[in-house]
Amino acid sequence: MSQQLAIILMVDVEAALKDNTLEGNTYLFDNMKLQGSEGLGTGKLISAINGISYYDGSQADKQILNWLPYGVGSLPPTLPKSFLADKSKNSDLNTIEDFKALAERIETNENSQFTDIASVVEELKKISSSAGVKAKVQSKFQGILHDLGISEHKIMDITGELITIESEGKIPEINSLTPIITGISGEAVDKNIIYPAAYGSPDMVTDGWYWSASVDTYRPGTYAYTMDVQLYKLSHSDGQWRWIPVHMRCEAYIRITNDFKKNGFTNAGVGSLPLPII
Amino acid sequence: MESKISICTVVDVIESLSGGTLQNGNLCMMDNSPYNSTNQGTPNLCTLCYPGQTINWTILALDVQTPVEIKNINISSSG
Repeated sequence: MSQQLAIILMVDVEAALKDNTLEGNTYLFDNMKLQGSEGLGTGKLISAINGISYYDGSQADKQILNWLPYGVGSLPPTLPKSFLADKSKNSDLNTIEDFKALAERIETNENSQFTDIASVVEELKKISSSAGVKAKVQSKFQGILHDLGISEHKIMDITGELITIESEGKIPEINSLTPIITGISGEAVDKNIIYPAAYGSPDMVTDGWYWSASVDTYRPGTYAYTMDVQLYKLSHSDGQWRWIPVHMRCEAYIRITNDFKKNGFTNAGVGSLPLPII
Repeated sequence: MESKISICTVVDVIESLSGGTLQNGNLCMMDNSPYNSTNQGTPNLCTLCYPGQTINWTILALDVQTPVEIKNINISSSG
């Protein structure tokens, strides 16, 4: 089977939400530069797919493409996907411990610190502010709020530290939720050049869902396709912080040629594969 | 928003190891600085920031089966 090829969609989420467009706020990459991909690191990627045959004339396998979206200011995707949930839960447990410790300190009136209610309230406020801020994801059509993943998550910065929000106008730098691709369409799909679908996998890194497509390499040419991308904007209403889904689109291309397929491990030689001498 | 900057690097690990270089388009960098950094999407990213601003670096491999890490970051004055 051919090497599966990856197309990375990197989004500057904050800038895209501010500009209300992905134009100028995306960077695309693939691992097909060896075969002649163009526009890597820009918003206009042309992925080269050498398709039809091997050097000896034998028919090449179909090509598989995988799309993975990431955010420039998002938590690194190599963290376990349970990171947000674990961190949120642990912070709750820590808060409970802090309250217990406070109760003991009040009971013994440590350092004669708790002489009036105001001093107790101050300590309580300190503990609750370190507990972080919870946010739910709002559904796209009905405005229903639900948890992100299996439990309620707290808002963090890109280093995974919980943040406190003083007011909506003064939100500290946050870890923007990783964008998701919700669909792939356009010319390449309409002309049956690629057959995309969302697939599930047990892989913990990509959260189990990714878009993938088989390419009909029998028809050389350059074909456009459109990615539907969902970003999340942090917003506050009805006393609740929520991630509001924002839908955007961006376009990229594949260029199928009838050049021979190349093998990256043999330095791209178009010739018989160097067979190891045993 | 208070401004911290994230600098994200994407590496084609297989291509870099095969060619023995991070050049030739094998590495691209981009950031989310609000001050219009230059050379976005290239290995020569120039991030615009103000003194004292926090910068976070992350790195990402193109292929999920090829891990990559940042070993060290050296700050030197540029000519």
